[in-house]
Formats: sequence, C-alpha cells, structure tokens
Amino acid sequence: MNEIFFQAGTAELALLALPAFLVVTATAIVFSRDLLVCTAHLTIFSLVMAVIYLVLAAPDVAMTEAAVGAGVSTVLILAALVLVGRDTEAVSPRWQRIGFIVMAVPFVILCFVAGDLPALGDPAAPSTQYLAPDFLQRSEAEIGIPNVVTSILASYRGFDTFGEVSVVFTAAMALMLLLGPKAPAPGAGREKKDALAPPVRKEASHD
Amino acid sequence: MTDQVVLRIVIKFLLPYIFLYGLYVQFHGEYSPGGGFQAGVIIATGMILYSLIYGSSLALKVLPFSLIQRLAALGVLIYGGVGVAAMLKGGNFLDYSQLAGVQTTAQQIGIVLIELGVGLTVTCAMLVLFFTLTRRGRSLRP
Repeated sequence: MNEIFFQAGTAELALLALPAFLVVTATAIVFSRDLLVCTAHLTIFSLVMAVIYLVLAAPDVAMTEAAVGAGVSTVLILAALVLVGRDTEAVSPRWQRIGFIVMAVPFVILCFVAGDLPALGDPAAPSTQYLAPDFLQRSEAEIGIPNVVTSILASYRGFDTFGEVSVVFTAAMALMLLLGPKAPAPGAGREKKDALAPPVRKEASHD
Repeated sequence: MTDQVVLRIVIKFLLPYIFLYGLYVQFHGEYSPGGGFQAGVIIATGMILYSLIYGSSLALKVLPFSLIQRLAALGVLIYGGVGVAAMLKGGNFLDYSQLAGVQTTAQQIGIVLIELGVGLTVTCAMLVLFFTLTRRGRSLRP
C-alpha cells in the first residue's frame, strides 16, 4: 500500500480515485429506491470498472466490461424492467440497511487484507513467477502471434474457451426456451409497437 | 424512439464505425487486444443500438431471428468442428498443430477459425437475449 502512496504517478492516482468512486456508486446502488436509477448506477459502476481495467493494462477485459457491463447488460436489464414494470416494489429501507452492512463488513476486511497484496507490476509477484514467463517464451516460437493473451485463450487454453462459448450459447438457448416465442398462431396479427420505445406522444408537448 | 431526429442521425453516422471496429477487433485480435468475444459483443451492441432507435422490427428485417439462432449454433459448431478436424487428422481435440504442415501456420489457422466461431456465437447469443426480452409475447418476425 505504501508504494502506491509514495510514487504518485497518474496510474497510481487513478487507482486511488477510481475505487473510491466505485464505493460511492456501489453505496448508491444499495440505497436506491428506484429500479431505473439503480440500473443507471450499475452502468456507471461498469464504466468505472472498465477504466480501472484499462489503467491496470488489461485492455481486452476493459473492452468486454465496457461493452457487456455498461452496454448490453444495461439494455437487457432495462428490457427486463419493461417486462416486470418499473414501479415494482423495492425492498424495505430496513432490508437495504441490512444488505449494506452485510456487504460493508467483507469490504472493510478486504481493505485490510489488500495491504498484503503485491504492488502493481511487481516482478516478484507470485502470479508473474510460474506459468506466465513460460507462456511468454513459448508463445513466440509455438504460435507465432504477438498477442500472447490470444494465444493462451485460443490455443493453450482452447478447451476452456470452448466451454465458455458453449455456456454463452446455452444461456441464450435457455432464455429462448423460457421466454421465447410460442408457435405462431395461425393468422396472428403483427404488432408494430416496440417494447422499449416510449408510447407515442399525442401532440401534447408544451413548447 | 422513432421521433428522436438527433439520435437517428447520429446513430446512422456511428453504426458503420461500430461495425468496423468490431470487425477490426475480430480479425486483428492476434496483434492487438481483443478477439472473438469482444468483437462479438461490439457488433451485437451496434445491432442493439440500431434496434433501440429504429425499432426491432426493422432490425429483424435485416437479420431474421431464425438466422440469428442458426448462426449462434453455427459458431459453436465451427469451434467444435476445428477440434474434431484436429482429431480426425490424428491429434488431440483442439490440437491445431495437425491442421497444416508448419506448426505456427497451423496454430494461426486454428486460432482464426475458432475466434470466428466465438465471434459468431457471442454476437448472436447477445441478439437472441435482446430480442427475446424486448419482443416478449410478440412475434419474432419483422
């Protein structure tokens, strides 16, 4: 922790400011009474998370977080909100406080433990000691592509990635089985209205 | 949101770049950050953006739901097919080095193919999720 405080580079400053922002956003999520506001906060949370990943030199994870967390999942949550109704009753404030305490206790414990983590970019960190140098050396000769992350994900760990793709596919199929279209009734009329689009206003705008 | 002129025009300008960026992330993933998963999500985001502004009926006219379903399955099949092809050539499942004579070339062929499968499946899975949720209770035909 001390190293982070003393070498006040841009990345270190960002790594202090952004998690603080995350904590504020998370608290706002726990205490928000409106599901729409909660969704907006979740989006902000994901966006800040994406920036943190970028500062930590993981651009592909940042890309995923920005596109999935802030983009697609926001739209999916909004679509689900349209289905269940925005004014679905929120849990009572008492339960929100209990939820906050349940989340805050592990957070404080983790904050204490975080001091024992190796510093950012520490070459002696356990995660950079064993397999990583091995992959970095072998990848150039065996795969021959510059992006070692791709060569690990797609080749050395190809079976895992196959599993991930199957999971994504299965999730989509499962949702379609649960909520998907039934067999179309003969002569069923086609509706034009869009679920997400607000109802068309009838010339009642006050200029 | 069909009455939002600013949004409609901006999206019209933005969409080609979103798709181009998605394709770049897909096919340049061996050199720069990214790969099939990121590319798939970016392209799906572009399609979702289009549906939000122009209506999902129009989007489903461009990309019929039955095609989305089949492409999602095709992606997994491409991935698995590469693995089975390696097995048929005498290697292990997903052992790309059997796919061509030179080892690095074989590995790169395998990686490009499976990334294509990943991209297809992720794009179409996201679109299936989106269209199933937003068009619940209505026909998935345009």
